Amino acid sequence: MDCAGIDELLSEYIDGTLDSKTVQMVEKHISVCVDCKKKLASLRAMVEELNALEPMKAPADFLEKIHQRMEPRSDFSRLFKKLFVPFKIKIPLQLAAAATASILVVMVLNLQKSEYQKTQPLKASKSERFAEKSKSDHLTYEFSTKTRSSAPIIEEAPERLSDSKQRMSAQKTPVQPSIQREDGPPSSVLAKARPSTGKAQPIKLAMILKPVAVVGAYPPDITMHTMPLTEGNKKTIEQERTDKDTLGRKFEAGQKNQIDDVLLRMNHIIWPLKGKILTKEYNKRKNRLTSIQVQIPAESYVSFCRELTRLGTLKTPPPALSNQHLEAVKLLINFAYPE
Amino acid sequence: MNNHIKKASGLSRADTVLIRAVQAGDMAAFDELVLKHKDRLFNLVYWFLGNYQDANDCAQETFIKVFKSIKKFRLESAFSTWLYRIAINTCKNRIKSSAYKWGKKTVSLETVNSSKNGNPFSEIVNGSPTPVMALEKKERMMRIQKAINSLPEEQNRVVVLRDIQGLSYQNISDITGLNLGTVKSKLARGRLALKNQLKGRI
Repeated sequence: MDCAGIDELLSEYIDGTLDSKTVQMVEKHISVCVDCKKKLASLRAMVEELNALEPMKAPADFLEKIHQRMEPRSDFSRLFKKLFVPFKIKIPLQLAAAATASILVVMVLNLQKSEYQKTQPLKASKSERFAEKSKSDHLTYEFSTKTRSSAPIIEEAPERLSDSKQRMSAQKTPVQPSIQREDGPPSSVLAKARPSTGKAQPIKLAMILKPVAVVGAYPPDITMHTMPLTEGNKKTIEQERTDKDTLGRKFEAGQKNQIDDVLLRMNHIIWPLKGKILTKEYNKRKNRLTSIQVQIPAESYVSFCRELTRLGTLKTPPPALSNQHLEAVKLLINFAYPE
Repeated sequence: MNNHIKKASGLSRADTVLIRAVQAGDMAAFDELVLKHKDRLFNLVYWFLGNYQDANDCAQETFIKVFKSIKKFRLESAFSTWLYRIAINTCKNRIKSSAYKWGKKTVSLETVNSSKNGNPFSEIVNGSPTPVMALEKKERMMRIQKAINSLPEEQNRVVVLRDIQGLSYQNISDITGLNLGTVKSKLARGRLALKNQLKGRI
């Protein structure tokens, strides 16, 4: 038998499991073959080394650990093991999953936010729509107010802006009577049209204006020059009158603009008493002032009434003030003109 | 009857008694069975896996499997044969598991540190007269362990069962399920491979 065949038998020869005939054959070969003899020696040394290895022993708590593992586990520990054991694998995976989930949540929230912002103008809330409507009403109101002031039919005192509907009705109603109403006193109409502001109703006065006299119409602070009216000095006199017109308007004595005349005289009564004109109503066709609403400090009420008699005759005597604690008094004066 | 079983299956009387007691629900008998076989089983599993912690875990799991299925054990073979068969299957499953593969790629701190149960060689009785000889012995152990673990699976099993555990060819055949001829050839090839790997180092 050659060396290759002997190699395959060396393992069993060491273990002593070969039959006697094969053992003799191997021993015969080894006795003449130095290489196979060395191979056998090294193999036998290795096997003896393995056989001589110190046996590994189980740890002292081996049985205890088995008992622990055999104890019926609670649901929590079972779930814990299922979720986290082995730690080296499951925890990194779970951290990665948590990070991915967080990123997804942030992305979804951002998407929803952008979608919400896109749909926000379309889905405006009821209050916002109302606010928009109020804003448009306000603009309409301002526009109509400007329109009215550019064609001055009536001017109103500032009112509450929040009640847009009332404003709308208030702005429309008083305008129409000023055009239609020629005969009847406007006080009743005004009283109905005036929005309820919660304030005290104005004191109504009716007076017949004195016939407009150019000279008498001038307030006391206007200097009258008594000089012969000649062609030479006519322009000079008129120039002086114009310069001293406190309304800043050109006052032409010959034209007798009754509206400006009455207003001018009323202003000369009101301003020194620190009052103010609130509203005015005109009859455009007859170019007359039909009524005026003024506000006078309460302490000046008597003075105002006394001054008022200089302009005309009051139909009824002015009533006494019922509330002595008022700071200001509103008066609605209706004018009648002698035919 | 008992004598007939002992002759037929090769069981020691103690193992037979203990197994019957466990089958009857005696936990103390199971503990005795564990204490009797734990070191040999642990040694076997350790040389299969090459890792102390994995060996400990697998050996415990093997005994738990034995306890769970001992009522099915009909005493037709040696308890150690049945025990080692279960251990080999448990080790196979462990080697296939991702945890074992992960552990092979990383260095276990428990192995590096010389803790009570962490050092695989801590349990070895140091009979060397000098520290140098003790160090040489440890190094030789590590080289052998590395060489055995580098063998193909079946060669590794056969070499460990024969040269470390000292089992007969027939027992190895019973445990592994390989026929006698295959066991012999696997053993011869495994020994040659080991000799070549450890050439000049032993």
